[in-house]
Amino acid sequence: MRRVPIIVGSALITVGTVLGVTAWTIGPALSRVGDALYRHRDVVRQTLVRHDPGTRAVAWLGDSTMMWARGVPSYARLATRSLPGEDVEPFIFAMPGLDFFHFYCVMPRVLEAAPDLVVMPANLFNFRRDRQEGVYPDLCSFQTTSALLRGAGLPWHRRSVTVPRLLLTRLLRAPLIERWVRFFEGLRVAAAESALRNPFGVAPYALPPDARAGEVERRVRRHLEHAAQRITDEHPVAQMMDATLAMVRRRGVPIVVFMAPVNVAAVAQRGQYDRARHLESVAVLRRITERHGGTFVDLYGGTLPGQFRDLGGHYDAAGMRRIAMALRPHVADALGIPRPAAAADWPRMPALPPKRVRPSRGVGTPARSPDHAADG
Amino acid sequence: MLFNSIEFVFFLPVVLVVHFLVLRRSWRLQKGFLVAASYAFYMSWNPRFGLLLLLSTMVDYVVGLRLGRSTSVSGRRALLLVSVAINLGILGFFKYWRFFAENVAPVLGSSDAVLLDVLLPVGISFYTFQSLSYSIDVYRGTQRPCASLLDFMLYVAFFPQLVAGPIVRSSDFLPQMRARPVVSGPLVEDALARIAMGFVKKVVLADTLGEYVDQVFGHAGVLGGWNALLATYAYAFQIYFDFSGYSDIAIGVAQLFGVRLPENFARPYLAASPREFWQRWHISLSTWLRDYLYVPLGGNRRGGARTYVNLLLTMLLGGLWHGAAWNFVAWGGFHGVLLVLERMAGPGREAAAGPLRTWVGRAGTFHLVCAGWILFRAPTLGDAWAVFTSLADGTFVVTPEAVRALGVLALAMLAHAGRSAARWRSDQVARPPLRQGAVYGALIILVLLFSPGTGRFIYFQF
Repeated sequence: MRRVPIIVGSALITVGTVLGVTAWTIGPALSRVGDALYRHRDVVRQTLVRHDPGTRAVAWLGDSTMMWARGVPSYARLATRSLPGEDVEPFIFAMPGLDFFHFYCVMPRVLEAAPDLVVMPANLFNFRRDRQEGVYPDLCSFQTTSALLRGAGLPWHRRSVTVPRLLLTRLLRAPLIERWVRFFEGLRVAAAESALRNPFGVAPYALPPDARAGEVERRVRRHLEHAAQRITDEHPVAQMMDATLAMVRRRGVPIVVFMAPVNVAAVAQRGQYDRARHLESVAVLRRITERHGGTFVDLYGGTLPGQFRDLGGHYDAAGMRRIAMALRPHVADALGIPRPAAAADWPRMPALPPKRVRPSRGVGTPARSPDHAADG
Repeated sequence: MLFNSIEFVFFLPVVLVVHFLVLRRSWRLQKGFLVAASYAFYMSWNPRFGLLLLLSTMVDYVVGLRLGRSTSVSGRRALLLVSVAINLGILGFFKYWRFFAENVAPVLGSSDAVLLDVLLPVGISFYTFQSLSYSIDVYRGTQRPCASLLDFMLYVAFFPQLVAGPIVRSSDFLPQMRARPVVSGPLVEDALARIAMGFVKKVVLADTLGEYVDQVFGHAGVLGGWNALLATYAYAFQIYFDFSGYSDIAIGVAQLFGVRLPENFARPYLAASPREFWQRWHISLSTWLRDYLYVPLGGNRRGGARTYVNLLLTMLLGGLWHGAAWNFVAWGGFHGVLLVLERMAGPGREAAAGPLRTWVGRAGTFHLVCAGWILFRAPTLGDAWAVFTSLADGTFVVTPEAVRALGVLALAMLAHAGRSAARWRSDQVARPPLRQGAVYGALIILVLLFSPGTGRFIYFQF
């Protein structure tokens, strides 16, 4: 039995030495790779700083549909700034694939900044049943101990998040540990992309055109299927929505939840739209929002078919502007300021497509850029 | 909690320290702590399903005690029926409700109201079979009722084998609980070697092969025939290394506590016949099916035709055990037909076989098993058919994953056909401790570099 500690010790020393030497020699380069992986997360992890104490802060949470430089919140920024007699400063907490699981995680940080209003989309794609992706662990770390206790009964297991993981992830708040995690993530990615994994430099595989067309149609169908599904109170994302809104309500902050628009024409064209089911789902989301004193805005068909730049639910500039305009009176109401008289005061923004559109994929191709990959 | 998760990296050392340092004076306390740790391990995923585990445990514990006291045949039969009905009822509801509803609802003209969103509790198939086997053994009189609730709870919930086996017989496990097992140095060293090997099998071999398998089976019939063939071979070794890797970790972790678990694999792709394959593949399940399904159905004692029916039925249900989908049923049926055909061809052929015939038998069996894996892996029967038909196409599309899979497949084949795992372990244990540690350190680095974001074990879904 005396040999066992020596074995374990020498194994740990070997691991420590290899990692230590790696960190010492190429550590900064690997950390940069790791930092890049967390680029979006840093947006969400930012501390809310109110630039002017006289302004009203609106926290916008969302997924990729809300996060583009010229996205909905940017339009809303202009829209709300033009509200009469008030200066409204929006803060964006959005990254690809976020839904109410993540909103729940990040909400303590959002509420720290004492926003005057929280705006969240209920994106139907996020409600899909087969969604398996985990919750970003660094977002879980925003949870306070009391929130963790309250959240014990929530369906974390649906995203493969365990209670021990929720506790462990809090270690990420320690700068030293976070630095090591980023270094290690960089090391892993560097190893995965190294020449050793592809020694002959073979080009990545692209589906042949005929197969791609079928594949695209299959994906679109699957994607839109999720937008046309039934949502009940028991749905895990609905449960998380309920818990998130309860957290905001406890702090007395007004809430606006809006159902993000879906390409209704594409859904209907593929025979996937069921009106009764849709109304039922809307009723559930409205009920949850109103239970917590929030305002629910149904924008399901709120955009025109031409206002999407793909079938992944991402809007073009006109679509985003339209959503911002539709939300503007509700934002004004929730902030208790006079509703804008008309849309004529809308400052025009150039209707440019977002930077990440890949024209070669053509219309109807689900977005697959890294930013879209995790998006529902 | 997965073995290859960050939680487990913290969980296991804490459990070992508390077990051996804090509670070392009382074996009873140690057992109680292991039960608590096992429930924590299981409930970390979804706390509610701990109740299900407890229900299954309590039912079989009480049934076992009552069976021990009951002398009437009808009373004993009723008790066994209670255990079978509750265990299979739970398993049926959680695992097969949706499959049943999806296939029966259209026939009944019903709406989707019956399609409940039932979540499958991890490991339910494993612990249900394990717990149920105890009741059947007590009913048969081959196992004495377990008086200690603590021992029985640990038998059902022991965390190393709780979620994906090996399925342990009560006659193997419960006697080990009577006295504190001796945890010797060589046993721990063997355990460390097993655990290291298990992680390498899972993370380095299985997961790397899995990347290519996903690429081909995700686009069934699109890539060339050679791609389909390579992916089929890759899957054969992916599932083997995934599951045998898990089993190695489970057996190794159990050994750290001094508990011996049965071997689950014996180099299955060296089998020279389908029957031999099932004697080497997932041994704890195949022997369970033999002892608790095939034999009670009559086995081979009721004539040729009945034997064939029994074989088919056993394998069909074995297939369904793996998952509630028609492709698993087809996979089970396919193996049932293979076993029937082998039996029809006549018994005892392997004994007379020479080396050439043995190798031909091995190659043939391997390819038949691979054909079965296509049914098993494809998302639907339609996709399986697409993969089968694409095999006739003679093209090969070179992708980075294909190149990687070829390299890893060659390694995997060598690892499988070369020296046995037991010999590797004994050689490793014979080395000086510093050298052993350095090897494990290097393997840890390798596993860390290969570890993907999410690497679920394939057998968790069952």
